Amino acid sequence: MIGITSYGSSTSAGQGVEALWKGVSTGQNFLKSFPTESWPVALNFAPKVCSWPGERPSSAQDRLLFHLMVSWREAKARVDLSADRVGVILASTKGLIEDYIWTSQSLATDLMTPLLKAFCQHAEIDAVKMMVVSNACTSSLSAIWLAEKWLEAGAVDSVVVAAAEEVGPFVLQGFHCLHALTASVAKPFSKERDGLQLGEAAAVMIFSKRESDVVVSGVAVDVEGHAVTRSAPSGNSLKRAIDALNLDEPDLILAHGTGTQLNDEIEDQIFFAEYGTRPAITGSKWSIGHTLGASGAVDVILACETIRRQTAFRLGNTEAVDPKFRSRYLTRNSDVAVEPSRVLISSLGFGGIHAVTMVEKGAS
Amino acid sequence: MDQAIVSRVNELMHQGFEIPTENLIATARLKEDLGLDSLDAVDMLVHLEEKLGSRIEGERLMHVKTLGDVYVLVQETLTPPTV
Repeated sequence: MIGITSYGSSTSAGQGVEALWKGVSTGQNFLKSFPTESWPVALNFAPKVCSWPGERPSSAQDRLLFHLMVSWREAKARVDLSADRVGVILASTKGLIEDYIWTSQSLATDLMTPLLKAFCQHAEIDAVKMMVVSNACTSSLSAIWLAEKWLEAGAVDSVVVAAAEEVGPFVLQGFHCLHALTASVAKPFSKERDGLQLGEAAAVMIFSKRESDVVVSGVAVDVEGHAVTRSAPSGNSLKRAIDALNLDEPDLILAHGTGTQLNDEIEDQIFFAEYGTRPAITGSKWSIGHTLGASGAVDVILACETIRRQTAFRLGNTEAVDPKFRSRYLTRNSDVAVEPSRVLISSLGFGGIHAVTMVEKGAS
Repeated sequence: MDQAIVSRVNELMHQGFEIPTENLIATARLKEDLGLDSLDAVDMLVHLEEKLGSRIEGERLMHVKTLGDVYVLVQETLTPPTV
């Protein structure tokens, strides 16, 4: 068990956790258009928070650093790390690849480490441990798994997990080729669902062994290696991850809930088999989009907010649940009078990598 | 340019970044003339949002060059788009 000391975010709903919560809980959809044909960058290995006064076009690295610093500023305001041995983990997946695709032909290009180092430098963190975790859409939850290991081993006093994702033409076309994108808006768990909408986000979370009012009581990752992209329809890997947690049942689930046929089928099947209709299920991707490697971090932050505010939010685009699904969902007109004390977050990633984490009320 | 916006932005720049008021002119370059660094962009974004009570596109702030650009950004943020 590790304490969630602080967090901050920058999403399409706006800068800050309050904007994120307000957007998701009031049913707003932050659909955003992304560049489809070109990428106006010059690859640069010294990311800058911003390009004042227009020294060069901003790269994916620059933009992610900017949004990470906005998130860091919010998270840092509530915690003093000056006496701590701090570890820093960057969680991201495909966003940074845009810089490589459009400017470099070297397969040896490492785009993640310069961003991690730049983040530490700008955040003025003298990190004793640093790591990049790029585990597809489970990157954030995998990073929390690693954070727990570092803290349990006593290697650090606090861990900063910085998660960020960017969408450019390569990422967009990739999802398009997989027929994974919705033609309208994402409607997770509805019969009319026809795909996901992509989103961009940055989030910073700070963990420690200190007591906190919200904690991560468990995190588990499982890999099935079923295919390059698709998860196995059986959902066995997700089931193994949940079973590995070995924790009491949640009263709320923040599902991965992308709105694709397969993702939602797997989640309904496994959640019903594990918990029946007892926990309410909701999600955030219909509102702020699927933020890929950052999505788990955004949902962990939202889970903390549901516990602190003692309420939940709905699947705002979902009028009615697919009749073949058996779990209990918070659809657009559902009563959100849930008083969450234990929230499960799931992330399902390409290659059949599945992760879950439980966030619950802490001692203080 | 709406002088009320100029005054509000200048007040923020003076109080938030301790820039002398006589230096706060539209043509002042944020970096060379006002001495702001890239991290100040993050602070400026948050301060502006708090002061104006309105959401600013962070991406746009990354590309402003002069104080005049900031005035324009704020004015466009506070002015509803016409159809």
